[in-house]
Amino acid sequence: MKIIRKITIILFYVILLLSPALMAQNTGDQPSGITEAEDIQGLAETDNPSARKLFDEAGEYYRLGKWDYAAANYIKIIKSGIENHIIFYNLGNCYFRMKKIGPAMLAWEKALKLNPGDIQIEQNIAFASRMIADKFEEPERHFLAALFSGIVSLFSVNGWFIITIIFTWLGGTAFFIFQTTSKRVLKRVVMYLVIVFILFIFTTGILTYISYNKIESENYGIILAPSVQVRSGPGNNNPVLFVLHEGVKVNVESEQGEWTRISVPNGFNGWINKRTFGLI
Amino acid sequence: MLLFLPESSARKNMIRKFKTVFIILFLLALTPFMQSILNADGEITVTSQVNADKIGMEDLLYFTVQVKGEDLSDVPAPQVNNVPGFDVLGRSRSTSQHFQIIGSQSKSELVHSHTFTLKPTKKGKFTIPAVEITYKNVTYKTNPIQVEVVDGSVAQKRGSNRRSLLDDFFNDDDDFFNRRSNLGRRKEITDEVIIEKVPASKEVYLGEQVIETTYLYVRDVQIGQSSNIDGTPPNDFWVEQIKMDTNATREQVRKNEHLYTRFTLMKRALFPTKTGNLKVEPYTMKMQVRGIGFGFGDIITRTSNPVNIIVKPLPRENVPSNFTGVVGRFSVSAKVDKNEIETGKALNFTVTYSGLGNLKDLPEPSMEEYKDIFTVYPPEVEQETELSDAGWGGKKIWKFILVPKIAGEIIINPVRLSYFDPLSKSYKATSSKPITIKVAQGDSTDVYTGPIPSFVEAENKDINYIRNIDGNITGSTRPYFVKPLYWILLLLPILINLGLLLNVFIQSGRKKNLSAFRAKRALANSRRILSDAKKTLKQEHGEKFYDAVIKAIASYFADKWNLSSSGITIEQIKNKLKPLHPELAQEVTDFLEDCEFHRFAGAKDAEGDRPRKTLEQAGDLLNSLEKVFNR
Repeated sequence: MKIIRKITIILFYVILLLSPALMAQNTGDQPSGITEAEDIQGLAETDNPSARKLFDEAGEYYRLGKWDYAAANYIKIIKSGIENHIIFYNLGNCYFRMKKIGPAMLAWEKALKLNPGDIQIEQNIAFASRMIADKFEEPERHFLAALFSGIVSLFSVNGWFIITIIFTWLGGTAFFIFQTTSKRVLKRVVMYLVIVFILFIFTTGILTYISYNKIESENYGIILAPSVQVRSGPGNNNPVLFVLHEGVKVNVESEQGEWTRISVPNGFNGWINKRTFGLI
Repeated sequence: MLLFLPESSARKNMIRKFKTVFIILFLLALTPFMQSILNADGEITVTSQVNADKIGMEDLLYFTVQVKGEDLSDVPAPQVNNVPGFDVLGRSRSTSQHFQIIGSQSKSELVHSHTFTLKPTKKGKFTIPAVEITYKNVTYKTNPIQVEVVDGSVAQKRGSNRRSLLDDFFNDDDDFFNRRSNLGRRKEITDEVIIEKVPASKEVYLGEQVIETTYLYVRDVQIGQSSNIDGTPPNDFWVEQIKMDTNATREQVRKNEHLYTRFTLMKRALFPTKTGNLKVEPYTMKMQVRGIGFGFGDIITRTSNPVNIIVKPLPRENVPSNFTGVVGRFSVSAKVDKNEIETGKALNFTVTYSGLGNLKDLPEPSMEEYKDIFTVYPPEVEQETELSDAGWGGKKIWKFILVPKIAGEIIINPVRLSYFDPLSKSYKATSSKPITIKVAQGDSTDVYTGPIPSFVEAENKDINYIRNIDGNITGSTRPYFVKPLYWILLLLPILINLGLLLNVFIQSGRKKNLSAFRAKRALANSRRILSDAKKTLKQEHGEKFYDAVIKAIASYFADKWNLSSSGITIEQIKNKLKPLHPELAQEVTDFLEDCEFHRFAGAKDAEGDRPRKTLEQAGDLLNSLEKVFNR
């Protein structure tokens, strides 16, 4: 019993100290867009009366069907340094109404990046995807890979971090009871609870890290030109491999001068001019 | 037809015979014409025959079902599975075209010959049952055929007495007409009759149509009866027979410095299915010719020129992702018969592809994305083909019946088609317009019993509306783990437990140094007890006073030696202190014994000056002892 108790204590502190240490690596890699937005005018946490005015006007323009005016207002807000997922979402709606499927998809994808898991944004993207000329079937993934990806996507980065905090408190409370109680049955029950919570803290901590890393490492773009010739190399002298159309989401792999190597879900890849797509 | 013959009895007989022959010929010539009249548009004739009505057990019987008609594209193949007395070994199909010139008009007819190879299983007389083909709701039936099977092998020879006139007509070697026509032959027929195949283009892209026209050139002679056009169907092409306008098939043209009458025998659209230099096999045609100086009713055979077509691959550049191999020029349209409907009620959704090219390549519009919105019934497909100056093409129509499952505004997205246009040598795309259907909730909720559509698909008839921001417009939430507050929240329970654990460790350490601690605190502890003793003196409790003094001294030694203060005795103190300081040991012993004595003496000993002196003495003793223990 004494040995189990010692092991439990050691495990608890090792893992509790390890989880924040793992997550601490992320603090230096926060999304650049967010920090830039803060750096410009420090608006991230403060009220902005002009932004409010522009936002309200944009809403009114949208209701009147003046989508280009509404879009202009949303762009002004974004240019002032405020990167809010609702503003990008509304901007996407304006573009969609203006039948600009590429910019609409770009705005919605940016909104989704700022607020992963937002059901309304996902619905709009799914709806507009039907209107994109190119349809790609996602390559079949291994069952376990698909399951793991599904679990990671269950919550946003913040969601996983909050869950980690909750488990830390529950684990801490259980360990406190374990140390202070003299009742043997209770001590035994909380000992097992402590072990379970330690495992949960470790798991959710790792999932927080993976979830954040996934957002940061994935680099996607949206085709904005009506159609783009994807070439076998960086330059117009290279043969055209295939054609992509406006609104298609591409994986941005590397850059060389004015050219970017991209790939699409069916495995095709090639080079397109930087001017033909927008980075999410 | 006029014949100029000498007027004599022998010649009169000859004329009589010729008249008979002419009547037969006329009737023969009339037969296909009558057939063609009987075969009204869209009708077919189905006949069957065997190669012999008597065969041996070692022979094979060839049972042929012939289907004739102007358009046989949708006629089902006859089924012959169970023939009494025979095993069906296999089947083959050949296609030929029958061409007929009647006056200034020509008539073409397709013939599909389905030949079944039968092997007899036993001797006797058997009946090959009638074969039925149902086409356009009409059932065509052949006559049953009697066949006798005998032992061994029966030579399959046709006696001349059993030949029909038709058999003779199509046989060059031993021909009724040839024998008779030789009587009047004067010239060999050479370039008076020519068959020529002309492809519209000799270099095409893969899948691009080539209109191949077969012409019959005739000069100085007249064509009577003609045979089928025989030709091996090309392997590397998809062939579509083109229904011709019979009024425009005859014209006067100059060829090889001669004036010919040119009949258009046949037109067909060839769609190459592979690249390279492909050969289209020539045609062969038998026909009866007659003319002044050429004899009467010669049967000649003419073979057309072979045609080579170079087929180029489609360009690999700019291939649209949804390209399925359609080559030509097409447009697509879609419509519904009603834009407002209730759930459970049916509406017709029609998709029409029209243009030039191989209609068979056109993909079926996918209704997969609507399976949760509509019950989609299998489509009815119609095809209308036509030949224009631009080429062969037409319309292909898919008629879907859709039954809405859910109420709301439903948008049927544009139907899209990508194709390669050989004229512009580029890939092109076409699409229909989106269709909006307003679906109201109907009463008949029992129509749809499938799974409930998922939330996203059910709700996404349009994009979601714009959203509002309440309060301050700020940047989106930063990740929590870049905010100190959340780190404090994460680390707080850990720190609390760490503090708790630290306290436990400190307490544990203290327990380990308890003896030293007690020794260190011995003097202070004893003085505190003496101070308590002084308080009892004021209350004139002599017994308690001396008891406290003894306890103070005993506690001092108990602390110094880490012993229990209640269990220590004067004798123990004397024995343990003696090695350290014998005089002091004696002095302590005397003092404790004195105190013991006064304690038992009672309250009277608590009066006067004695208690004060006892306290001073105890204090001095403790000071002396502390010096000894600190050495």
